[in-house]
Amino acid sequence: MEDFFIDLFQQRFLQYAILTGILASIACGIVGSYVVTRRISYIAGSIAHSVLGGMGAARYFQVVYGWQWLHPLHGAIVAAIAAAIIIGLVSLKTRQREDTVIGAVWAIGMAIGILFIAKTPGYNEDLMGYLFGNILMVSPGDLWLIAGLDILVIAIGLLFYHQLLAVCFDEEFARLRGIRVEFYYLLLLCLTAFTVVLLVTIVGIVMVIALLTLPAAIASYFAKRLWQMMIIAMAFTVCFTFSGIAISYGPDLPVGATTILLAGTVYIAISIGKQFFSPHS
Amino acid sequence: MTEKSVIVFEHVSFSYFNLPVLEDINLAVKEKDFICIVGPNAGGKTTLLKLILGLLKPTKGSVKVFGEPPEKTRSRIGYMPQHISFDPLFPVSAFDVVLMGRLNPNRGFGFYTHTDRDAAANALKSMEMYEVRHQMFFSLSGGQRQRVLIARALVSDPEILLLDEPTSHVDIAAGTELYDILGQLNKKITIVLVTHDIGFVSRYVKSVVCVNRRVVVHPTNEITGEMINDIYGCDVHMVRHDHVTGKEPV
Repeated sequence: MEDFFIDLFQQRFLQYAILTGILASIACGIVGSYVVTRRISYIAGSIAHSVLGGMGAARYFQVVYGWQWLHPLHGAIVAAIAAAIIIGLVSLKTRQREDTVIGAVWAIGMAIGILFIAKTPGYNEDLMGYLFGNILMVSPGDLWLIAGLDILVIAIGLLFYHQLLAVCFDEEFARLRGIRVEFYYLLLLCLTAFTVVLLVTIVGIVMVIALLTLPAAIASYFAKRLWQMMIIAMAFTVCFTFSGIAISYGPDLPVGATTILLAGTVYIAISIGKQFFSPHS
Repeated sequence: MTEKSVIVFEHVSFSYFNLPVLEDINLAVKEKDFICIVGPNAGGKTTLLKLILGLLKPTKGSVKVFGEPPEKTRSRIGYMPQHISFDPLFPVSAFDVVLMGRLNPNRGFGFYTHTDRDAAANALKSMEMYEVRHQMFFSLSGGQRQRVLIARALVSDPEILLLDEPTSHVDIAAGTELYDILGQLNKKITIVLVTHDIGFVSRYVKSVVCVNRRVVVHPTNEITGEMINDIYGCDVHMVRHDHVTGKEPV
């Protein structure tokens, strides 16, 4: 652990990693709270996995056609938004079973990614990074993209707080008050998509859903208002990502898995603790 | 007939997936009326309210509210639903819930105004729920939650108030108190109330609409056991509730 704190002041890559963690945590606290209260964590899971399609495709075009400007993160953003809009429109406009669509988008996105990765020349070490995260590989260029996404998510998530709260709490009543419920639902799914992309850089596709929901779920044990839930969730996410990097640094453990295990342990401990001590309300 | 009809149903039928719920309904609700819609479960009571709100469209016939299609007049109606999603950890206070009634399509982003907050405080006071405004909504009792939801319906100064089973979670005494408040409100607004509890129709109610796929309207003083049997399709004991259950109205 000492090494970590010494290197933190010297190593640029470590500073970028911590900064990425803090930036992603802010968006994660806000959007995670909406996702948990609106109960769409499985949609978030589906969006996260479909991101592999975009990352794989972007990497393929980068290597095979030499499009150096195309970064896997760009592909991730496009795939996440496409997945969010498909799931949103299907669940709003058609009478398909929503969970079937969620599962289909989840698997089709991954299948596309795997095909592209298989056809990309060279070693496929990228794949592990996409699936399980590689926060220590964040470059200054990535950081600008991440900061931009972060600002977008925070701005929209806070500016439309009252409308989004009303839609999460009682959709029918929101509609009666003239709120464009469909628009805000799609907006929420797009915010989720952007946040998923931010979190993929830290914990990877497979574990995003845990980092998005666990801090918010912990926060809901303490919060009486949605904005309190957001602040508490942010604080927990910052703690988890920072400790995840710090703990894993010395023994050279995977950062994503360490972070998630930490979040999961705290969540389970607090859930059990809550059962034995003062029940909520 | 000089009184204005605010809600008019003309030959309205409604089916869910070819399953008829309402058939050939004709109904006119007058301004400042206080009507009580009664009928058995799944008899179409809530469907009737949703047609008034324009949340459902009639399969046949037409519904007009203030002479216009219901989707256009929603903002002038206050609605208290029977159920809302029950998530006991949903982080929202009673005051937050009432403020949601102040939302409208023209508001942009940002905070609620002082006017909004004052309106929410007044609505909570009128339902005698101001003291619990900072409590979490789902930590309140069933009866308190229903009053907060009525406050949410009132906070936009509606001309019509639609209430779906407002007495389902309360005992007779609390129900009578609620009717006293509604009786006061009825001096200014039209009230349409749904209940499956026919014994609990209060003296404030001006007419009773019995719904079981079809509709029969009665002035309250004309209801007999025979009519109730007709509607429910079985023997129902009539319970008189015009005797004292607390304080008399002044």
